[in-house]
Amino acid sequence: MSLTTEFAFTLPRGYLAPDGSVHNRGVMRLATARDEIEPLRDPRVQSVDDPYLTIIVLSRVITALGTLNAVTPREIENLFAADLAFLQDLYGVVNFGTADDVYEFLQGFFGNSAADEAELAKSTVKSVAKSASKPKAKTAPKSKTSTKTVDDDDLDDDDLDDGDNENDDEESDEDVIVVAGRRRGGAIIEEVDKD
Amino acid sequence: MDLYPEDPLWEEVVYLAYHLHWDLDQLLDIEHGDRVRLVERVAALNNRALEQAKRMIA
Repeated sequence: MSLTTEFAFTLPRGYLAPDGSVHNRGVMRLATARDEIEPLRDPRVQSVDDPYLTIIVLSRVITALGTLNAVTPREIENLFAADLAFLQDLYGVVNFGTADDVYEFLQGFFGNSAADEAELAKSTVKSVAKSASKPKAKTAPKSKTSTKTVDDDDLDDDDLDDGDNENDDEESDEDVIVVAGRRRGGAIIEEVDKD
Repeated sequence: MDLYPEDPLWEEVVYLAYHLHWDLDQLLDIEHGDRVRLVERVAALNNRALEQAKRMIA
């Protein structure tokens, strides 16, 4: 897919590296199905309730932390408990919460001014790859959290029609599946029409 | 930590694969919110086509 949405954050305590350096500013991208499915097949993960699953998932979606070259499960394991809890909450809020949830979360940690400045919720949408045959969604900034968007992909809704109507006569009401799970707020990431 | 429920996750991936004919790698790399939105849009298209078919039959 062509879009990656990222949130910059600052850890409450900061990761203390073996060399004594502290790293507290980082970037978390939104999760994909792969981020949650592949760790389930990791031999170190015994079940969906295994705490190590969280470690692996976070290490996948945290794309930067301070000046570290890479974020691996080892770094996540060695975070202070407060920082790990912060990242777990952030993961839930940005992936499954609404824009208001993100704002309230930031307020809770850093107060109104920090939330308004969106130091942690500053989102950058990057086009990381192009796939000309697939529909692409653009993102719109959420004013409350001062999200920033950078995207040059085209929106091509017509592609959504591919292969749909050919099955229409076979479709029944039961074929429309119910979407489970909590939905990310449309206000955070909104599809906008391209001219 | 909240994760997306695994079974619904696979249902959505299969639903999109069935209707859009995208390969698995592409579908797995869509962010949760975008995937949900795609499912909703495809479902809406299906419903619209179904209603049109019903009107033609009636």
